[in-house]
Amino acid sequence: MRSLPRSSFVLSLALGALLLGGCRLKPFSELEDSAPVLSLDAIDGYPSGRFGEVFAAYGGSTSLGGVGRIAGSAGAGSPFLVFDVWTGGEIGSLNVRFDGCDDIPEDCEEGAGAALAHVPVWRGMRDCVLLSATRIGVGPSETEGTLRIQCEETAATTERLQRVSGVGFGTDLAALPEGHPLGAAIIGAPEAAGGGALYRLPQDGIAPVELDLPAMLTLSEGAGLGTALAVAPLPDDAFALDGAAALVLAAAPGEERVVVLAVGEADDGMTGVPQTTARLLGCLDGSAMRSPSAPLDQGSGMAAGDLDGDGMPEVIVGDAAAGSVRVARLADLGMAAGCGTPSDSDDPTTTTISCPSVEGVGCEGFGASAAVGDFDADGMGDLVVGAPSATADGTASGAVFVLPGGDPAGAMALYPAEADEGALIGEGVGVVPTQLESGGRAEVVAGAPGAGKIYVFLCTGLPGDAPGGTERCLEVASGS
Amino acid sequence: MVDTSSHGGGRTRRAPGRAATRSGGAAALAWAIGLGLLVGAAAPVAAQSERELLQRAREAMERGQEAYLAQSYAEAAASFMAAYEAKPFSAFLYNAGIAYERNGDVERAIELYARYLDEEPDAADSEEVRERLARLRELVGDDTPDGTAPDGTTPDGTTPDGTTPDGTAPDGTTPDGTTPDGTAPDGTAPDGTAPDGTAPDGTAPDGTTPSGTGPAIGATPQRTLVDAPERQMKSLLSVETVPGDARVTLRQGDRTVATGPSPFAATLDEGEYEISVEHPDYRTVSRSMRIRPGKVYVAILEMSQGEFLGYLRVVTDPPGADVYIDDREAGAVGQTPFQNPVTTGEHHVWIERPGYETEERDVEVAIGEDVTQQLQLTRVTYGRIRIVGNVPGAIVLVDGQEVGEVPYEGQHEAGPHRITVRHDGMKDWEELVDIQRGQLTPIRVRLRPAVSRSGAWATASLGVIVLGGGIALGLLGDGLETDLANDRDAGRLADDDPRILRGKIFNGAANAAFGVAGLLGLLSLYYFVRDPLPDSEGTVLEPRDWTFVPHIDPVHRAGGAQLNWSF
Repeated sequence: MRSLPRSSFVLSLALGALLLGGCRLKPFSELEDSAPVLSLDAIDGYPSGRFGEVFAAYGGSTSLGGVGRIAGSAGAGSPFLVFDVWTGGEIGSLNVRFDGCDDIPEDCEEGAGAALAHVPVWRGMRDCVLLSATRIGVGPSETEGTLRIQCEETAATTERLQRVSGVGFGTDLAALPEGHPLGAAIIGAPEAAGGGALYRLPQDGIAPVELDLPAMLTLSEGAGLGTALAVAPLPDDAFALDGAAALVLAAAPGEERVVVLAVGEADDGMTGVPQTTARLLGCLDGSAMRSPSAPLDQGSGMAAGDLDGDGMPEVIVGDAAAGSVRVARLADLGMAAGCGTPSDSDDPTTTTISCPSVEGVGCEGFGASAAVGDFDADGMGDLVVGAPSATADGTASGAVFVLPGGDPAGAMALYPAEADEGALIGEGVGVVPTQLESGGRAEVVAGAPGAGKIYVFLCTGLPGDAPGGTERCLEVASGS
Repeated sequence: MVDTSSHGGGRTRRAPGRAATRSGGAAALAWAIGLGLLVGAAAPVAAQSERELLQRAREAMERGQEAYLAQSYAEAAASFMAAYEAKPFSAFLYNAGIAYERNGDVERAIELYARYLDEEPDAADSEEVRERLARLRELVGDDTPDGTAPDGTTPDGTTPDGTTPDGTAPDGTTPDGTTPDGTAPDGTAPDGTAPDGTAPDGTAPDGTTPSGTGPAIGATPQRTLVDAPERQMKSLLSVETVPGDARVTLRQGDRTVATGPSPFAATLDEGEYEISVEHPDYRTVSRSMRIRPGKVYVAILEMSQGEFLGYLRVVTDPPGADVYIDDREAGAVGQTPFQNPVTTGEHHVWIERPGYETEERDVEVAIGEDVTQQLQLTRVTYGRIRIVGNVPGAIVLVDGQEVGEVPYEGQHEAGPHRITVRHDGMKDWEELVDIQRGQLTPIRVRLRPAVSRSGAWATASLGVIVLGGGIALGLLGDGLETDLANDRDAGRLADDDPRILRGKIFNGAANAAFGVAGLLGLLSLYYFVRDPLPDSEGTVLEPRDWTFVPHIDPVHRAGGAQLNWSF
C-alpha cells in the first residue's frame, strides 16, 4: 500500500495555513486609509518637481455637496492641478479633479501657476480657480502676465482675462469672500510704477480694476507692493466702510514692510456713489515677504485672521530669519502707523511669537508662512506657521506649527513621519475646510515643494482635536 | 470333547511369513484340546495328514474309552490298538494292556505292558508297570524276569529284538508288517479288509479283532483276573508348535515328566501338568493343563516373539496426529487413529499434530486390556506466516516491529496483524492479515519500485526557503506596521508614507513568498503523492495446516522444529 509521507503533508498544511493567514496587504491599506496626513502629488509627467510651491485651498461645492479642494502648482511656469481632498465627511479620491492643461496645452507650455486663488462665484459659475499665467521671462516682457480663470462647471474651459502688461500683473492673488462688493480677488502688480499696484477682479468682469491706494501710502520705486497678498474679511462697516470690507495685506519686500489696508466701498462725499476705497491701517516693517523671484528658502509669510475671537482679524507677519512671527491687532494699527519711511520708529505695537518648543522638532525657518484657521473646531482662529527648514525627528524636512489661538503654549508641530530631507514642508501653509456640511472645521495644508508634495494634516494634535488613535484625526475630532 | 481356552484383546506380533491366527487376545498361545481345533489355515500338507492320523487315533481312543466304561474290554482293547496303529503312542499300548488285563487276556496284557515299558522305559509309572507285569507273569507261570520265554522269546513270542525266531513278528508279520504271503497277520488283505469282512479297523462285528498272534479276545476264552485292579488309563498329549522346532517340556510339580522338540507327544497319567514351550526367538510359553485319563490332547502352539501385550487405541479429532509412546526420541509409533498392542504396564503417550497443542497422557494397560484414548485436539494459540517475495532481504514488520527478512517464516499470536514488507527504493506493502491458529498463512509479496521523492524534497526545501523569506519579510512588514501605527496615532502618518509602500512590498513579497511557498508545498505534495508506478502487490493465500515436526529434548529441554510445506 502506498503511504503518503506525513512530513510532506504537514509541511503542505503549514504552507497552506501560512498562505491563507499570511495575507498582510490589508493592514497597510488600512494604515494608508487611516493616515492622518494626506499627501498630494503631482500627476505623472508633471513638468516640475517643485509642485506645492503655490497652492490655494478652499471649500468648493458640487451638485453632490461640499468639497474641500486644493489647487496647486509648482509656481510660475507650471500647470495647476486641482484635488478633491474631502467630500461629504470622507476623504476624497485625492485624484486630480481637473487641471489647467486639459484643453490648452499651450498654457502649460507657457506656465500658469504663478499664483492661484479660489473664486467662489464668477459670472454665475461656481468654484473657479483664478490663476496667474505670469511667467517670468516669457512673453512680451518679463513682467507680462496673463490671468485665466477656470470653473468647476466648465472645467474644460479657461477664460482668459484682460491682460495688464508691464506691471508684474498677477504675481500674487488673494481671493475675496463670496459676494464681496470689491469683486472676486485682489491681484498684485508689484512691478507697477510707484512701488507696485493692486488690482481687483470684479465679480462679473474680465477686466481687472486697479485699486486706488491711499494717498498716505508712500512707496519708493521697487517696493514691490503686491508681491504677496493676504486677505481677511472685516466686519461690516469697519473702518468707516460701507458694508462688507476686507483686510488686505500687501507685502512690499523692497521696503521690507507689509502694508495693511482696509478695502471696501465708501461714499466719497462728492458723487454720492459708493466708491472703492482703501484705507491705510498701518505698516509693519522688518521682514522680507516671500517673492516669486526669491529662493524658496528665503522670505517670510504673512496672514490675516481673527485669533482672539473679537471679530477683527489680526495681522500676522513672519520673520523666518528670526524664527518668529509678529502679531498685530488692528486696534493697535490705525492712522497709518508705521507707514512712514522704513527708518521711522513709528511701528505699531505687535506681539512677537517665537517658535514654540516641540520635542524633536527644530525651528529653522519658522515664520516662512502663516495662515489662520479653526483647526480644532472651537470657533476660534488658530495660527499655523510654517518652518520649511526645520528638522523633525532628525530629518530637515520642515514642519508646520499650530498655535491654538496664536498661543505658543500647547503648540503642536505637524510633519509627516517619513519626509524627504529638504522637503521644505511649510514653505507655504493654508487652510482647507473639511467639515463642509457642519462648518467651522479646517485642516492645515502645507506645501512641500522640496518634495513636490502638498500635505494635508487632518489633525493638529491640539487638545481635544486629535487624540492618538487608529482612525483619522478628523473623524475622531468630529465624533463621526 | 473339545476344550478350548483363549485370551481376548491381544494380538501376536509375528515373524514375517508366518501363519497368523488371531483370537483377539493377548496370549501368544492358542490351545486346541482335541483335534477339533486343528484349524491351521496354512498348515502344510504333511502336517494336515499327520493331524488326520491323530484325529483317527483320537476317535479310536474315544471309542475304546466308551467301550471300556461299558466293560466291553475286548472292544476297548481293539480300539486302543487301532488308535495305536493310527498313532503309535505308548499310551495306546498301555490302555490296550489294561483292557486285555480286564478282559482276562493276561498274555496279551503282559505283551502290551512290556511293549509299553519298551517304549517308555523312563515313564513315571514304569516301576509300577514292571511290578504289575511281574505279577501277571507269575500268574501265568512265566519266570522270565524280563518276561522272556525259555526259548528266548518274550511272552508275546518275540525275541528281544521283537521278532520271532523265524524272523517274523509275533503276530506273524514281517518287519514291514506283512505276512510272508503278503497278507497281514490277521489275515486281512493289504487293503485292510479281513477275509471275514471285518472292518479295516480290525474290529469284528462282535467287537473282537481277528488279528494278533494270539486268539481273538472275543473268540479265545481267557483266564479272568478277578483281582485285576482298576487302573487309570493313559492319556496322550500331542504338542505342535509354530514354529515347529520349539522345545516342549512337561512338568508335574518339580518333576520333569517329558521333554522333547515339537512336534511332541507324551503319554500321561491323569494329573495337573505344566507345559512349557521354548524357542530361542520366541517368548517362552507356559501353561497349566489338567490331563484326564483316556484322552487325547492336542495342543497347537503359535509362539509370540513379543511380550504379552495389551491394546492401546488413540483416536483424535482431527486425525493424523503422531503418537509417541514412552520415548519421544524413538519417533512416532503411528498416527491417529492409532491402534496397536503395547506392553502391559504404565505408558506415557504424546499425541502431537502440527498446529495443535501437544497432548500427553499416562495410560495403564493390563494384559489383554483394550485401552482407548479419545482426544479433541486444540489448535495452538499461534499461527505461522511465511512471506516470500521478489526482493530477498526486504524487511518484514509485524505490527510495526521488525521480525526478519524475506523470505521469512515465523510464528505469531493468532489474530489480525499488520504485516509490512519494506525495502529501500521499493514501495511498502502492507496489509492486515488474520493469522489463523495453528495454521500457516503463506504470503506472496511483489514489491514495486518507489518513485523517487528527491524532486519533491527539493521542491519542499525550496518552499521552506521561500517560506522563510516570506516570514522574514512579514516580520519586517510587521515592524513597519507597528512604526506606521505609532506614527498614525501620533498624527504623523502620511498616506504616501514610503514605508507604507515598503510595507506593502514586504507584505506583498511575504504574501507572494507564502503563495509561492504554498504552491511549492502543493507542488511538493503533488510530487510526494504523484505516483505513476504500480503499487506493491501481495497475495495472502489460504491458510493451511503445516507439517510440523517438533524436536524436543526432554532432558535438556531444548526444542526445535522441522517445517515442511509447499505453496
